[in-house]
Amino acid sequence: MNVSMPPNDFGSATASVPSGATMLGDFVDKISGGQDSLTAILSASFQDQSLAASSERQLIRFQRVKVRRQHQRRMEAMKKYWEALSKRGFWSKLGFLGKILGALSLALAPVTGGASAVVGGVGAAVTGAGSIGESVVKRQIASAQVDKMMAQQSIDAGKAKIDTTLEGISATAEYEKNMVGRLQEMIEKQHSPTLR
Amino acid sequence: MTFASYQNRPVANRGMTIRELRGINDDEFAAALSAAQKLLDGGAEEAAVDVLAGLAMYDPFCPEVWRLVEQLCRRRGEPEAANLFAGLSRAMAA
Repeated sequence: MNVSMPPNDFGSATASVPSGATMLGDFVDKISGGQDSLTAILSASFQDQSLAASSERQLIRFQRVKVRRQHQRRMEAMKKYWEALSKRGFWSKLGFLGKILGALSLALAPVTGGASAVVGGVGAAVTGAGSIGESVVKRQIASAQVDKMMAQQSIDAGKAKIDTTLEGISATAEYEKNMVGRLQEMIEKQHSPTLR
Repeated sequence: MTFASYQNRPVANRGMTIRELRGINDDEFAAALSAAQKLLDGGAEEAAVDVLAGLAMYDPFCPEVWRLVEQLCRRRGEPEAANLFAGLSRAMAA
């Protein structure tokens, strides 16, 4: 989806009513406000997929309906770049890229029916590393888990990885928390009288 | 989108991305992208990474996210990774 960025009015001395900052406030409020936690939402999504997995035919139908043709093309492109990025050892070399790639792996969870278990494996391994972006070994394990589970693509594997997936959901919530924390800092700085 | 409204949607129509699950509209997402750009421009790279990682997780199909990640990689002196993310951005825009 193409999204054009609004005028960058954060910290602008001339913007009296900054529309970008207002929208950013809405963004943060929507995530950290009174709505259900991401963990609850993703858990529900995953449970749907677990139920669908009780019948292979049902699961295939579910995925066919869910993944539109255009989206499938993007998914194919995404997988291609994902493989290119993960094979080149960026996870082990660079902490910041490890974090970005970890986020990308988690993002694929709600996209495809069978991906929850796959992505859950990554999330669990990344979470298990203690601090995202630090453990080379853990990331290599995560990568190996992805390859293994992608190759399996079976309903049984999905069922067996329920616990792991829930850990992946936890990692997803952590990414969200970090993002919102940074954005809240920006908003607070902008509204601080001393920084105006 | 609330949990309740999510539950009430037909299975086939449920969210494709976490952004959609969260009910973030285009303007709000664009504002967050703009904030990430501001962090990058201001040299706050660690904060930018956290925001971009979150946005990439929210909507990995948004080309702007990967364009900003490309910028980040170039600033960090990683042209190979930058080129890959540039390609990803183009692929998502196509």
